[in-house]
Amino acid sequence: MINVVDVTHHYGVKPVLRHVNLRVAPGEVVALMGPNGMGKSTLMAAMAGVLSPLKGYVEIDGRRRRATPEDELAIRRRVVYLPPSPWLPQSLTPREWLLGVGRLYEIEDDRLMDHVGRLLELFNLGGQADEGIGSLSTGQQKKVAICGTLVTEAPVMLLDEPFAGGLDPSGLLALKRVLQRHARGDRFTVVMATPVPELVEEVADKVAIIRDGQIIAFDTIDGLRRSTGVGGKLDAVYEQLVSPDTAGKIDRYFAAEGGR
Amino acid sequence: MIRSIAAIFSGVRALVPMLIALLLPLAVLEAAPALVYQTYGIHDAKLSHAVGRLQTIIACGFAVHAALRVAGRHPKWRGEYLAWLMTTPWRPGLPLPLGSPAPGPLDGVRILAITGVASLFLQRFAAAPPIVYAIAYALASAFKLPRVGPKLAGVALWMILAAIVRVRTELLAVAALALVAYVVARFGMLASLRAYPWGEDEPKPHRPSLGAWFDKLSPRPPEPHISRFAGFALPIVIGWALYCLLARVQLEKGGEMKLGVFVVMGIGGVIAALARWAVYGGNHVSPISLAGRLRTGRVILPRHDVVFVAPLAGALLAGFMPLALLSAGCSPAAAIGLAVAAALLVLINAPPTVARWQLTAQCRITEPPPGTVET
Repeated sequence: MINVVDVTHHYGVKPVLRHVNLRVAPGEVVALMGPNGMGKSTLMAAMAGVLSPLKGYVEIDGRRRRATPEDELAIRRRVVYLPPSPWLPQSLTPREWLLGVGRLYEIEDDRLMDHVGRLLELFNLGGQADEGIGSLSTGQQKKVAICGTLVTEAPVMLLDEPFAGGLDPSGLLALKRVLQRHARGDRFTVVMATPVPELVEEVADKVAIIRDGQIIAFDTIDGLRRSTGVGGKLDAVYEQLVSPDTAGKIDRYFAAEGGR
Repeated sequence: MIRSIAAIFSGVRALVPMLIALLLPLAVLEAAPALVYQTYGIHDAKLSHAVGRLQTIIACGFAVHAALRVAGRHPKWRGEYLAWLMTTPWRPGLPLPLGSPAPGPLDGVRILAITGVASLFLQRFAAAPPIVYAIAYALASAFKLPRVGPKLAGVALWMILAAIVRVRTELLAVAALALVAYVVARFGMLASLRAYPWGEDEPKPHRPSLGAWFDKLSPRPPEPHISRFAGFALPIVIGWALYCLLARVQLEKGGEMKLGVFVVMGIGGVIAALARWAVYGGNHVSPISLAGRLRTGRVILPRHDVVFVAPLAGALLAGFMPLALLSAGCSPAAAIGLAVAAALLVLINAPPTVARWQLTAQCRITEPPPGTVET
C-alpha cells in the first residue's frame, strides 16, 4: 500500500505539487500521466524517498518515509526505484551489476543467478552480459537498468519513464509483458510515470492524471471513460482531461497556415 | 589500505639485510676513530662529530629493529603470513612461527650489550640507543593498536609519544616516558595477539558500487565514517599533541598574538566545519533553493537545517574558545590544544549521525553531475 498524503512541494517559488493525495492498493499497477513539467517526476521522487516534500508525507506499507532510520530502511528493503536517467557503474558488467543489486536486496544466491540469467535473456542482453556497461548503447543500458529493478523482487516498484530512454521494440514488448503479468497478480505494486497512453492502456489497473501539480483524476480506465463521457482509446480520454482544447488549437494552427 | 601498508612493510623487511650490511661497517668505521680519540683524550670537533654520527647510526639501527619487530612479526601486518597462520592450529598462547612481536630476553641482552659498548665512547649519550629503541617500538605499535586493539593502549601510546615531544630536552623525563611507552606497547602487542583472528575468518562480501541510485537508496544502513571510539579518542589525542608541540614555542602575550590565534584557529575551524558539512550534505541538498526560501518565507527548514548546527558550533568554538581561555590566563599552547579538541569533538560527534541525517532529513538526493562516469 502506498499512501501519499497532502504532499506539497516547490523547488523555487512555483509550486510543483499541491496537496496531492493518492492511495495505491497492494497489487495495483498505476500509471501516472500528465503533461511535461507538471510534477510527475517530483511525485515519483517523493514516493521513492529521493525528495522529502515541504508538506505532507508518503507512507508505504504503513511506515512513513524518512521518519526514522528504521522505518526508512524497512521501506527501502521493499521498494525499488527506477529513475528517468539511471546512473549505472560503467566499469561493471551487466551480470556483475545485477548480481550486486540482487545481493543488496538479500536475494538468495542460487535463485538470484537463475533470475539474472532469465532477465538477460528476456531483454536480449545475453551477448553483452559480460561486457562493461560503459560499452553498451543507451537503449541497452536502459534495459540493464530495468533488469536491475526487476531483479530486486521488491514488492513495490516505482518506475519513472520506464518505456523511455531508447528501448527497442523487443525491449518495450518485454517490459510491457512483465508489467501485464504483474498487473494480473497481486504480488507487486507498481507505480509508473509515463506520457504514452497506448502503453498504459495495456498495462495499468488505474491511471492517475496530474496537471499543474494536482491529481485531477484517479480511476480505472473504464472509470475515466465514464467520468469524461469519452469512449474509445485512453489518449482521447487523456486529451479531454488534460487539454480539451487541443483540437481547437490544431484547427487554429492550420487555419493560419491556410490563410497565407 | 591495510594491504598497501602490509606490502610496504613487506618491502621494507626485504631491505633489512641490506640495512644491516650498511649500518654495521658504518658503525665500525665511526667507532674506531671515536675510540682512539677517546682513549688518547683528544677532544676536538672531529671527536664530537664522530660521536654524533655514531650515535645516529646506532639509533637508526635500533629504530629499524624495533619497528620491524612489530611490523615483521605481527600477523595482522602481513596478509600472506596471516592467511597461512589461519590454516594452522595456532592459537593465542602458542609461540608464533616467526617469533613474538614483543621483544624477548635475547633482544634485552643485545640492547644492553650494544648500550654497554656504546657507553665506552658515547658517554652521557649511552642511554640514547635504548630510548630510541623503546620509542620506535612504541611508535610502530601506536600505528597498529588502534586498529587491532586494545584501542585504549593505542591512544595511550600516542598521548605518551606526544608527551615525549613536550619534554624532549629533559633526558630523564624522556627516558621515563620512553620506558612507560615501551611497557604499554608491549602489553598492547601481547593483548592484541590474544584477540586473534581479529574477525579475519569471517567472509567479507565483495560489495562494488552499484551506481548512484542504488548506493543512495540502499536498504543497508550507511556505514559510519568514523567509529564512536575514534570519534572521541582522535580529538583528545590531536588536542594533546598540539599542546605538547606548541608548549615549547615562545609566543609573546598580547593583542597581536590573540588576533593571530583567532585568525588561524578560525580559518581552521571553518575548513573543518565545511568538511563535516560536505560529508553530510554530499548529494543530500536542501529540498528548495535559497531564492525559494526567501521568497516563500520558509527561511528555516528545521529538519534540513539541523545539518548546519554542528559545523557552526565547531567553527565558533575553534575561533572564540582560545580567546576566552587566553583571557582567563591559559597558556597559548593549552588554549589552542583545548579549543582544537573541543571543536573536533563537536564536529565529529555532534548529532545527528550521518546515517540518521541521510535517512531522515528533509532533503533532496541529487543526481551525479551530467557527464560523470561512475566507476
